[in-house]
Amino acid sequence: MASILIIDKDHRFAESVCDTLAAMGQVPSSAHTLRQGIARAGQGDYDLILLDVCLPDGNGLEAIEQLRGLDSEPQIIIIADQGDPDGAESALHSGAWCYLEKQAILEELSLTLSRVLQYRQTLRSQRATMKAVEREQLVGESPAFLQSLELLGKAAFSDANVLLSGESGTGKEAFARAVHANSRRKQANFVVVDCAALPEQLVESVLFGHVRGAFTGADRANRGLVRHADRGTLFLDEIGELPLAMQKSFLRVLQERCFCPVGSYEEQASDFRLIAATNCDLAAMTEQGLFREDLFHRLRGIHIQLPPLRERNQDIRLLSDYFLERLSRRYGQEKKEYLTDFIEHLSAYPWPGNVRELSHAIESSFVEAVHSPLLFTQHLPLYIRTAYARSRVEQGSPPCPQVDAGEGELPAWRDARSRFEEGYLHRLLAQTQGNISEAGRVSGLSRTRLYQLLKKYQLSLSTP
Amino acid sequence: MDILLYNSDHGELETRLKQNMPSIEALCSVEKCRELSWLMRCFREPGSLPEAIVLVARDREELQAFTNLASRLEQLFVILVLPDAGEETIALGHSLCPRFITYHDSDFQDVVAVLTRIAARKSREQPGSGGELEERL
Repeated sequence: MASILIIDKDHRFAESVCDTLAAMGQVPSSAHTLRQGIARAGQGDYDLILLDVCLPDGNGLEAIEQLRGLDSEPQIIIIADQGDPDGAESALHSGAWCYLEKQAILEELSLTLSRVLQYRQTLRSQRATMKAVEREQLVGESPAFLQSLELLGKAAFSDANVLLSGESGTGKEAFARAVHANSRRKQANFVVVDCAALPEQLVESVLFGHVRGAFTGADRANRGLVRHADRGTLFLDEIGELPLAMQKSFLRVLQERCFCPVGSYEEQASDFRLIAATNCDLAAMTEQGLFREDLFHRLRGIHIQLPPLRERNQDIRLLSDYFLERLSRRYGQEKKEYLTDFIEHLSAYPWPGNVRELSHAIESSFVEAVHSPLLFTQHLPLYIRTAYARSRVEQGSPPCPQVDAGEGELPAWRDARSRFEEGYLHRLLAQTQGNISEAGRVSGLSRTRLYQLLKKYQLSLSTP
Repeated sequence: MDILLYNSDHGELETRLKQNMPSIEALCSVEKCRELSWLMRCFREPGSLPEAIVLVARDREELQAFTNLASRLEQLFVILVLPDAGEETIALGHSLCPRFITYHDSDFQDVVAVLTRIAARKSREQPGSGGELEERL
């Protein structure tokens, strides 16, 4: 039984569709303007919305994304008086399920509806599976990150080759480990091969092993990492660095899961699952002849592109909390808190080194603030503070509160006082390290007044 | 590049390792450590860690002890020298996600070759810090 909303200007048409749906055992309701429809959709938990294009107060096509973004993530079927190819294309681009003409709706509705409901059921079980995925170090709630996590869920429950791409420090290895840890192979080895660290002369024997006497120094046989990954996962990090000659050999291994150790003609089998990672543009490398196209296509069973940290700015606070928690546990200290401007500084920085760089910055601040329960911006590495100062100047913000405008235009008394109060509170908190009694003593203000002011300027002693 | 070299073995392995030390020291600044307790303490105190670590596991018990450091080792380039090639030892070794694995009977030329490559990569990533290293070596 699905909950369905019909947004259509034609009352009689909407009523007739409602009757048909009710006869199918569904729960329909209707609205006749875009505004009314959006409001009702926001209040209900709809599985499906049938949306007219021409509504008295707007174009239904323009509301698709807004409606898709509701908590219930309803599917949208566009219903048009007359078919319009451009409208149909635009609807699908905006995320609509399909585009139907009204005259055909009663015939097509039943099949379309059952497909929609079947799809939603699959989606629900997939989400439930995702919730069960052990995320461990994978911290973040931004849409771009959640999209990557969704793919991780799919990858974990399949055995397809996975290609993880993204800038350095975006967490490719952590993702690879999570795929392994959530897969049926988790009891076996997760074997890391750092292709960038292996000298060309070592690659073959490291991957495929060798027999005794295969080359000078091979005093005994070695099974090689591909064999170590039998029943487990082989993680080829920086696969773009794999020498071309080796790419050819590896492609064969990938196709047949068989290989010959160096110095042997006897084939060995290994049932491994492959995860590869790169920060290179492998597509561009194939065009330049630097990477085999056939191997590239093989690797991309599931392709997870990890977003850079600058595109998931909202995760900076969550990540900072996670790193601080981890540091406190590691060093057996109380968790340190930080003030609002600490996160402001972190958010203004572009993070070319991504999550890894953030982790280092937080650790560096933690070490700087070894005796302080609070982290101040002064504890941050200088390059981050500098980037923040520059961004403020570039945005045209005054570098510090200026009460006296000098020769310029004099600010209103209320504005000048606010600027002074906010600046004063920042300095007070920094000087007293967030200690309210000390702040009261230094400022001569009562505890109540201090709390009022902190609230007014959205500052906090313990949390930003 | 800074590396930490942990080896508690005083036998023939140490001799082979020592033979390669000049090559390793030509590549990076090496801090040596022979006591597990010192290694543990070093990892439990706040502060910066070296960029790479060579961990020679004397036996499986010592390898097991390294697993207590797993969360910190994640942040480093780990070269692991395993005491044997038994399945359990290898499985324990991979639980540390090392970037390179070799064994006690290695002549350590493989370790030197890997360190040479990563030192060259580091120097390329940090202009002005000896970008000519790879050519020189």
